[in-house]
Amino acid sequence: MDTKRLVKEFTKGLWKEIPPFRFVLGLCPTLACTTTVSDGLGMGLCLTFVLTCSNVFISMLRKIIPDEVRLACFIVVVATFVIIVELVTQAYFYPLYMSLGIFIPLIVVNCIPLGRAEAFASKNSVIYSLADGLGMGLGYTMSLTSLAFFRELLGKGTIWGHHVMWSGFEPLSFLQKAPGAFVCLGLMLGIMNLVGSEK
Amino acid sequence: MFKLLVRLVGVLTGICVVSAFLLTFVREGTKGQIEYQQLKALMAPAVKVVLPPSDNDPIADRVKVTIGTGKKARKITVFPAKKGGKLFALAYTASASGHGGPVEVMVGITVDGKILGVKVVKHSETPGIGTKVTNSKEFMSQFVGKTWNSKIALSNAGGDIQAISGATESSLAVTNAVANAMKIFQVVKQKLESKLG
Repeated sequence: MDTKRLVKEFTKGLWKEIPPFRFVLGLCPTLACTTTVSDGLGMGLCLTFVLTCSNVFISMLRKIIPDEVRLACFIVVVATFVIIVELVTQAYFYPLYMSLGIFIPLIVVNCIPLGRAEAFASKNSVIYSLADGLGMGLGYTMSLTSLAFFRELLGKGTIWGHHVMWSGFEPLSFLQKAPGAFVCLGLMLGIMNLVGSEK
Repeated sequence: MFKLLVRLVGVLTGICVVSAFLLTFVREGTKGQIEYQQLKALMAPAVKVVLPPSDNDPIADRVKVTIGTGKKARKITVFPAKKGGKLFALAYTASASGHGGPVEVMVGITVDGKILGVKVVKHSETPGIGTKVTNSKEFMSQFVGKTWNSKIALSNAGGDIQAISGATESSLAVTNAVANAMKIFQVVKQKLESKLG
């Protein structure tokens, strides 16, 4: 095992290959679940769990799964962990479950878990797949939380449900709506590209 | 060719079976907690209205009792309220058909059979007309203080509940639902007490 490579696989998801901003993957929850910081963080952590577990299992099974049915096998593994997340959030984080709603089951068709399974976990050993899944998941969580931070702060004047802006502050409710999500995401992508292009 | 087919089907089936076992296990583990959360979200606001503050959490302490026998048997979830470890009131739902479908009401009753409060939990009455009844606190307050053996009926049927004009059908539905709840009170109370021990 190569520690240097392990660190690399973990950190690439945090900046260099951060999923929604660099690859523009998994945009559906990025737009829909970022109206509040708690939603963004919750969604990100749900995806991190699914991605890490599915990466580990698919990597473990990579020599057994035949090429012809690999996609079906990946989907079954991903779906299993998504249902686990759905049941657990419903049992212990009911308000989060209610506010994320349909977007928890929709993680099954999110392109990040399937994409990482196909591109990484099915070709690499378990330990690297774990690092990759954890890094990508946390990168995704960071992206969602930061986007949600701006949308909640400017769109509602609150952070985590607490009022933080001055009393006369007029919230830009546009940012809470779907078009506002696109504008916010576009600006973030632009900033990321600006910073990233200074090589 | 045949060997490949067996391998494809075998692996996929194997993964599905393992997944099914895992999910059954998780589902069994979270079942009770999920039911509690759903009841809390749906029933807690109504329970708070119809029952006075208690030492226990009526939703966590819910008891399921069976009413009737044979084909007519049905399960009712009862929410007991205790003070100092002693049961002093209970709440459960009952329904009657209204204008747009069944109207379900939550009734809070003392152990002596006196109504503490009534709240509609589920209905499909006409917005703006039937909802005048289902949202009316004054209408619901007419039931407070009635006992399990008193006549619960609208004034035009020999009772003393004043219907809301223009929404007689919905008024009747709520009244019938409360009457239905009181009809089974003695049985529910008896079964609840025997289950609480």
